[in-house]
Amino acid sequence: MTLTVSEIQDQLAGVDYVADPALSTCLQLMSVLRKPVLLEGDAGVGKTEVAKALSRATGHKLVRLQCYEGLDLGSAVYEWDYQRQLLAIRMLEAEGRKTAEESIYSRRFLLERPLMQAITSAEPVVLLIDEIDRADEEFEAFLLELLSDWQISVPEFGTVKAVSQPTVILTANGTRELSDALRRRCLYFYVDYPSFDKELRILRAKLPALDQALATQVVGFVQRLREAELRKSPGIAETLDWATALLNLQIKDLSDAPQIIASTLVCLLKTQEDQMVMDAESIAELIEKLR
Amino acid sequence: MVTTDSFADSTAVRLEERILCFVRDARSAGFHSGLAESLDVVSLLAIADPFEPLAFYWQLRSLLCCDREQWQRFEAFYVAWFYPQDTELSERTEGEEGLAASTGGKGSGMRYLSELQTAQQVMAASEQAKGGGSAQESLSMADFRFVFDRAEQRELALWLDRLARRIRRRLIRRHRQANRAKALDYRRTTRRALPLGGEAMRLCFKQRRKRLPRLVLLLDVSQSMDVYTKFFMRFAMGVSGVFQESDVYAFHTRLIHLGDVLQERQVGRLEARLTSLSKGWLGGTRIAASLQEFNQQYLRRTVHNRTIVMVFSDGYDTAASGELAQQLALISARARKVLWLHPLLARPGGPKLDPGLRHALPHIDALLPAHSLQALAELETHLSR
Repeated sequence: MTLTVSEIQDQLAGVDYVADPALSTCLQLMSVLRKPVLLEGDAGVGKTEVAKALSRATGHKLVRLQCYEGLDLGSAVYEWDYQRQLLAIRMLEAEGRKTAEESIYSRRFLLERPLMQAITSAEPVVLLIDEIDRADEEFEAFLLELLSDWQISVPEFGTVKAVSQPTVILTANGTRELSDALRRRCLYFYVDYPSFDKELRILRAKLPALDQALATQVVGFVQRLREAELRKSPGIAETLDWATALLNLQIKDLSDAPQIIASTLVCLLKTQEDQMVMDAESIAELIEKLR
Repeated sequence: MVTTDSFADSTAVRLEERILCFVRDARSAGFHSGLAESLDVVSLLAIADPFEPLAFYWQLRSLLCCDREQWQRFEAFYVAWFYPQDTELSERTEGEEGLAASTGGKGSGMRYLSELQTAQQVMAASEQAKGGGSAQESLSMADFRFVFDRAEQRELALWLDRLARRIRRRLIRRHRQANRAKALDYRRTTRRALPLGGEAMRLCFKQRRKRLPRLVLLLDVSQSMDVYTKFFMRFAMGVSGVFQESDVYAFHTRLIHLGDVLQERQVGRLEARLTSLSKGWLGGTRIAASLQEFNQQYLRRTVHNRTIVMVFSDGYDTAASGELAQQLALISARARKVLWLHPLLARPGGPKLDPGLRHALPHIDALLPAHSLQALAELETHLSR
C-alpha cells in the first residue's frame, strides 16, 4: 500500500527528521515507481541523513557504499575469496578430482560487498550510494545495470537477481558531472539549505534541551552567515555542532559573551579564508543585527 | 444525454492528453522526459493528493528534472504552461523555500515563455542565414571578440562546455606500454592457474591507471581581456567539471580563488565573486603581483609534478618587467608545464609582446593562441605530453 505524503512526513518526523512536503513527495514517488533517487546539494545539507532516517523510519537495514576515486567492483560488489579457493583446489587435488572450476566458483567462495549484500538480502534494505560523483565513470556505468534491472552479472556463474528490490538513494555534490544515463534512471531532488523555520524545527528536534530564544538566535546567525559570501557555507551539521557547543558552555544569549562566541565559531567556519573574513567586528555586527 | 460516468471518463481523457502535451513540451524545452516518463506521469495522477495543489508540481519536478539547472528553471516553465494568465504559483507556494525567489515573482512565467520564443526565433533565423554544417565550423574558428549574436554566444558556450569533456576523453584514451607492474593481480592469476590444476605458473600484474594531469587555470579578468573573460570562464567551468583535480583562479590587481564556486556551477555566486573582484577594475593589471600572491598562498598546495598551469592573459602588466619572469620561474620549477594562452596572438601581424612577458618566455613551455574554440581545442596536444 502506498503511503500518503503526510504519512511519510510523519514517519520521518518520528525519527527526528524534518522533511518538507516536496521531499516527502519525491520519496513517495520512489516507492510507487520503484526508482532510485538522486539527491544533490551542498555538503552538510542533510543528504546522507535522508537515507539514514528512511532506514530508521521503515525499520529496513541500511547498507552504505561510500564512493571514492578508484572504487572497483572488488570492493563494491563482490570478490572471490582467493585464499579459500586455493585451499579448496589443493583439497580437491588430494581427493584426486580433476575439475575444480565448478566447485570453486560457487556462492560459498563469494565475499559479498555492499551492492551484492543489498540485492541478495531477504529483507528489503535501504541502499545508500554516497557521493557517487567521487567514483570513476566505469563504476557509474556498472551501476546502470543494477539500477534498471536489479541484477548483477558474475561472469563465473551467471546473473544474480535481486531477492527484494532495495530502496536506493544516491547522493552527489558536484565533484564531477554525472552521466546523463545515470541521471535518467533516477528521480532527482535538489536539497537546498533549509529555511529559517525548517532549520529551527530541526534544531528543536535534535536538541530539545536548547533554549527556544537561543535556538532562534543560533539559526538567525547561521542564516545570515550563509548570506555572506563564504568559501564554505555552514550546513545543518555545522549548526547542530555549534548549538551543542553553546549548550555545553551554558551560554544563554549570543550577545552575552562575544569572546566565547568567537572562539566557538570553529564549529561553523571551516577554512582559514572564512575565519579571516569573519573577524570579531563582523561577528559583533551580525549579532547586533539579530536583536 | 450525458451520464455522470461518461463525463468523468471524458474529463480523465482530456486531463491525460493535456498532461502528455505538457510532457512533450517539457521535452522540447530541454527537460528529461521520454516515453517512460510520460507513462509514469499518467500513473501519478492516481496518487497525487487532491488537497495539495502543489503535489503534482513536486512530482513532475522530481521526475522530469535531471540536474540543478533544470531544477531551478522548472517552476517558471510549469507556471508558464499551466497558468499562462495567472502567474500566482509563487503565492500559492507559500512555505516552499526559494520558489518565489527563483522565479522573480509575478509574471516571470510569461517572461520565460516569451524569452524562449525569442530565443527560438533567433536560433532559427541564424540557422537559415548560415545553413547547416559549415555554420558550426565557422563558429569554431571565429575570434571570440567578434561573436556578438546572443544565440551564437550561447552555442559557443555549449561547445566550450563540451570541449573540456572531449579533451579529457582523449587524454585517458592514450596508454603507455608498460613491461613491469608492481602489484600482483590475484584474481587473474587464480583464473589462469585453473587449467594448470591450481599451480600459479603465469603471474598477472595489476597496473596503475594513467592519471590525469591536474590543471590549474589562472584567468586574467582585467579590462583589456573583457571580451574574452566570459568565454574563458565558461571553459574553466567545463574544465573544473570534468577534471577532478582542477583549480581555477582569477586576477587583475589581486588574486581570487574560484575553484569551489566553479565546481558547484553556481553562476550567481560566481558573478558575486567577480563583482567583488572587479572593484579595483580601473587600477590596471598586476599580473606579477597576482602570481606572487598565488605562489605564496597556493603554490605548494596546488602545484605538483603532475600539474599543468595555464595562464589566460594578454600579458599587459603595470609592474616592472623582471618580476613576472621571477614569479613564473617559481611556478615552472614545481609544475610539469606552464602554458601561456594569449588571446591576441593570432591577430594579423602578431601582437607586440609586453616586455614583461618577453622576459618571462624562458619559463613558459608554450605560448599559444586562445582566441577561438579551435585554438582552445588544440590545447589537448600540449596536455597529453
